[in-house]
Amino acid sequence: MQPILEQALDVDSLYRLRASVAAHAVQAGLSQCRADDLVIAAHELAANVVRHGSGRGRLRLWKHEQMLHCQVTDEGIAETADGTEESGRNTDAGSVPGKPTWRIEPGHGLWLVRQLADRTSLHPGTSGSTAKISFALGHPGSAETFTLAERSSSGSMILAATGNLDLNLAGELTDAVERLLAGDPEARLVIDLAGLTFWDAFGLAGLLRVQARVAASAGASLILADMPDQLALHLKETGLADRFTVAGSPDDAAGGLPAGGEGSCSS
Amino acid sequence: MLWVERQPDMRWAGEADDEGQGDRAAVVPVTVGADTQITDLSVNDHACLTFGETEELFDLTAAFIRDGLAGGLKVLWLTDSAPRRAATQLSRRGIAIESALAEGQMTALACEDYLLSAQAFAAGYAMSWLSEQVVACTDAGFPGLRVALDMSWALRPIAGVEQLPDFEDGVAAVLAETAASVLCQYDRERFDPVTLASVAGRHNRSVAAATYYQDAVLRICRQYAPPGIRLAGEIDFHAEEPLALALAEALRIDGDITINMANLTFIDVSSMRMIVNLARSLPMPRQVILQCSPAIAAKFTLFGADRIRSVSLVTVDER
Repeated sequence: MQPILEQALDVDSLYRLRASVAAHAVQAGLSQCRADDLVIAAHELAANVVRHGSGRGRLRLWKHEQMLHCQVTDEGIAETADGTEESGRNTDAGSVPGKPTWRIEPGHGLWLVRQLADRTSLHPGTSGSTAKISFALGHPGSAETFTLAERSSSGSMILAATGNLDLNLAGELTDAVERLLAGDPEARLVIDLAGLTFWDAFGLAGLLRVQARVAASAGASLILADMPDQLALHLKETGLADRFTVAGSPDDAAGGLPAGGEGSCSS
Repeated sequence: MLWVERQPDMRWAGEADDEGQGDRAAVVPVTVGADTQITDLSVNDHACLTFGETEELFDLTAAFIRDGLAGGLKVLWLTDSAPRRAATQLSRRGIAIESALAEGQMTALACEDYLLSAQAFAAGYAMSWLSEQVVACTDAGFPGLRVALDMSWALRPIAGVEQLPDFEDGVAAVLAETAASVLCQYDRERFDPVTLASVAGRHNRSVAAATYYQDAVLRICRQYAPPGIRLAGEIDFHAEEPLALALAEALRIDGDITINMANLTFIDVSSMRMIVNLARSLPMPRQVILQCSPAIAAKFTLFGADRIRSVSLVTVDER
């Protein structure tokens, strides 16, 4: 696969690296918001190489099957795999020769990478560590469309979100929930996510904010219904799933919701 | 532990500075060698404020005015922007400007109308205006006067601008034996170094925002109103030490701490963690107020910052 960007990285080149990734990601068709997500994810992988790995690596960016892929390789590990460590390389980074990088430790930033990327694969290895993150490229025209429809069912209010769960939709969602809770502080809310096509950091942050808002209103509850498999998997992998109550169809959720629902008890 | 010990070779505003006044006019190394904090000015001071961005000017002016109003003094602000807009800037920084204006404790004026006479500058005219203000303030029963003068008018082609040094010398004479202080505000990016060096030496105090770090992509400085720190540009782990220093200083503020990130375009996980750790370490009921763009706010939410009791996440629109 022909890369659209290939760049060496070390501790002094991260600013330049971010600028290149941002420019090429937008050029490749990623929305500005998703490009921002890619930039911080790529930065954290690169920072992992320079702070916890060998100190030097390489970043590649390429397009394949409607996805933008970004691979960060820790080059030092490949060279140290057979024990022929080059002196001077590892001293600043504080890594252990031959020990694989991508140790997922709290605070290393890799958890944020997982939250932001559509797909993440980390390959620690003695023959060279690589991390690959992938971001879905929108279909032309579909990127800007989103709607939020409201209907009530069995005493619950169902908000059906379609399109991109991005800054706009996240804002609408927060506003709608705010308005509904102002009308009824004990509102039983269901967000129907079946029509979602993409989400980004704003969208995930919006869902977390809405959940926190509902949890703060005694007696109110929130259920996420018909979540796309990929989003469900994503929330599970990133440890965010237990912050939400999920259900199958929105009408099941509306009917089956216990009074003063359990969704409100997460705090 | 998060905080680094202060480096012995680091110096910031508020500490003694042995270097000549002229050095202060030069554009900005890592820590600014101004000798006084804006919050430490007192009666009779004739202070020279240098600023690098409009945000900084409004921030420092807001602190000067806030402290003046709190002390019951009369406050005069001669501003280069429209007085209305200037007042809005102060309100946004938490100053009860409307009531002070209504009660006559505070007055905001356009420089042109008072310092200049018929689009020309005459040191004698400006000084007599200032003397009148000091007298009027005493007559009105105020215990003292604070005057903030935006000197940006002197950048325009105005007749008599060569009398600026005479004016600055004269202000000291006017202030003697009074309960007034004057803060002259100079844009260090726009005034030439020679002029700046010349006027700076005619003040008894030199004031600037304490700057913890500055390079081509990042600036970390103290914010005075509301108190806290300001980050602009892009921040990552390279700035760990100055950020730790800035946060450690902010921790010593009484009450809530504002971290102004409105002009920050990138933040990495390590910097977010340092800021969130500061919030976690705050005793009840103090808060850290994170002011940031929607993009940065979303990252802090994913980080879990909104679930920390002492964090208040405020989204500001990019202006």
